[in-house]
Amino acid sequence: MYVAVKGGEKAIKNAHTLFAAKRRGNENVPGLRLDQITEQLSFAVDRVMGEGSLYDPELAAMAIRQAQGDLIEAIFLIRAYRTTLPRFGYAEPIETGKMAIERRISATFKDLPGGQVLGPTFDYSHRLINFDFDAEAAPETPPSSDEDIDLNAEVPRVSDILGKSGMIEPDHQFDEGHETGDLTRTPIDFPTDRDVRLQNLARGDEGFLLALGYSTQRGYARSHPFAGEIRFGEVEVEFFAEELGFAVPIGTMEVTECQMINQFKGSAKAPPAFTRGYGLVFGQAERKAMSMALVDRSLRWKELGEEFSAPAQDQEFVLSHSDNIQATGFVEHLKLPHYVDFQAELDLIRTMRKEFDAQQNENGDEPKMEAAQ
Amino acid sequence: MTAPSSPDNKAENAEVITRQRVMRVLAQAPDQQLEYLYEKFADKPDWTFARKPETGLVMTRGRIGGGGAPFNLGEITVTRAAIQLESGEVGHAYCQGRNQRKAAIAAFFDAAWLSEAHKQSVEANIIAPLEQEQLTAKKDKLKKAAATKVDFFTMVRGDG
Amino acid sequence: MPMPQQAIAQGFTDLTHQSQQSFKAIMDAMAQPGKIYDAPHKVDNAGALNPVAAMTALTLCDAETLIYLDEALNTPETRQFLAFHTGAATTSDPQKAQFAFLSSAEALEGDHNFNMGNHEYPDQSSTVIIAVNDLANQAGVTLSGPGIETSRAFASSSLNQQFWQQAEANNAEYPLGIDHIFVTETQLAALPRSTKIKLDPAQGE
Repeated sequence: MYVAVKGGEKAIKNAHTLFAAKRRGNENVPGLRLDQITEQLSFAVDRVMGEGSLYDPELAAMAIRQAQGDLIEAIFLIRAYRTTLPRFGYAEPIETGKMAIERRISATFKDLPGGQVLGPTFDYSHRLINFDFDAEAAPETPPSSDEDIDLNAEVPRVSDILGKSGMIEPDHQFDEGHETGDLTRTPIDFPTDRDVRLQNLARGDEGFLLALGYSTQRGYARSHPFAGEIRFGEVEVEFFAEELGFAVPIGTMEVTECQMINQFKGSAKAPPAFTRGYGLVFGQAERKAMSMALVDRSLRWKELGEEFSAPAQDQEFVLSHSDNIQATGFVEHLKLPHYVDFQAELDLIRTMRKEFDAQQNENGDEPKMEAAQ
Repeated sequence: MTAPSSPDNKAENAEVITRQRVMRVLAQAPDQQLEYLYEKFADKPDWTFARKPETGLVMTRGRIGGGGAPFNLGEITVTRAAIQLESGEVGHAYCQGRNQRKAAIAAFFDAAWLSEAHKQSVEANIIAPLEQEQLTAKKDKLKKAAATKVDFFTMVRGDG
Repeated sequence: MPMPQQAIAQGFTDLTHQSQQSFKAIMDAMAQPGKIYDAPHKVDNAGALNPVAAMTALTLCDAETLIYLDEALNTPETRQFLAFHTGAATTSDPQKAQFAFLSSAEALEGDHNFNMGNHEYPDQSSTVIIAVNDLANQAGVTLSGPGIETSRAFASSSLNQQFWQQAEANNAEYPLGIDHIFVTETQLAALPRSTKIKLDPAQGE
């Protein structure tokens, strides 16, 4: 319970001023420009867009700068901002098969139709700090391939390739009449369908999902995953405008998609085949997309007739704790004044101690705390 | 790209695809370049806003497994505007981002493209060159990615 | 799917303020059933919608609402106006409509079965906006209930005995039921599901 407290206006104002000065730091150091953040800290920008659930790199950069690099605070700013805008409607589903691929790898097939494209990645680097790094230096021009590029080429997913032989479950469909759930409009009602689960995971905290995904690998809801395919690149976004009567291409966005392939021994209902977990995240966010796919798969235990044994399978647990804005709100609210609450607890403990002492005296024991044990 | 499928009406479909191309090119054009092209555009017809620029959100969607049922992925900022020329044509713009001036100019060019009097000029001076730049940029990006294509080989080879 | 290229009628000229003023008028009308309000804004040339119905549509409907239009109102011009200014799609299924616009109360009679909401979510019902010729606080029916201190006389030449019987039946389903907004060319009044209706026998057909 919170009780209103009054006062502190001046102290708060001064604290804000002090904080603004701390944000700026040493004024002899040039101030951060937004394009420096969008161009040079793109992973931070992508994370803020993904978990802020709003694709707008410049806004994310503004939030990161204002939050001094505290990404959860930046995500909070984005979530708050989005509530001030009207929603025009829902976009057409993006087509990741038509993605302009910048990176695409598979850990399951070396000879992937369409090829493995390493793209821009940390992988294969030695993780050694570069003490000679020159932030101002122009980088070497990346080589271009002289192969012919077909801009309309579709690159099949690994799941499509395996799907042809029936070795893997098909893409998930709902029964006719299913309306796509939207947790920003209707609060989650447990148990919930896979569409709402994926929406929740897509905006969920990377650290939380990483830990849960990791737990499934370590034996808590073991699902034998393979990274079937990870792709990153640009997709087109189209919006069906009622007044025009057709889908308008409004622009492009970058997304990372992960198809996790999992062993499945089969059940009474289904023959042995590979199953899949799916991850899709704004920007370049492989760790998040992979974690999301692992958790998506483990949440499907019931549908696949598996045993329930681990936290990553518990949809109420996972979906209720994945949102870092809800989490930080509840954890950090403990900083708010709880003076009256605490006073009441203090009185209660005092009373209980008196009773305890009285009891001890009656029994003729030494009035010691240890005795209670 | 995903034009509404009504096989019984191919002409209408073709019309939609043509219009989508124009709106795509304008929506993807860099803000400053569009501004420059607008300033440079000769004999601008008079116009009024049918809808003043307005920034809002569109909820983007993915598909479960990549090709399955839709799910909501997250929102994207979009600015829209509609402009009516004095000759009556109404142009629309839906552009990713929050730049209201850009949406207004995109709607203007869309309207001008719809008018017989300006279509040729808009196509030749605005749409076609912008489209060419966009395709070239996309190709360059893909070529750089293609240079990182790899043929992994397994260490035990030959007997599969 | 035709691509409209003809001129689109103007909606609110000052979106923020006019929609807020209109919302307040509609909210007040809903809070004081049967009380007649002058519409703060009249939106002309909205297809077949009268100016106050159009004001109501622009205020209450958006891309997340589905609109039902009766036959007389369901014209390409109305649909274009609504699509452009509200982003709302139209439906031919009255059950799915959050808002229904009717050209007369007679359109309520047929077998239209609007959404009454359900016991978990009574708010998921349809709101029905009915065009009428006139509104008056004079002998007709007697309204009472929440928002009315004692009772309020209410009449419209466009609302016949059958309508009022239907409205009475609607009230009997409370907390389920549809809510009505009556709109003339210049005025509006509301009849929410919570309002009790006493049919004046003298008015009987």
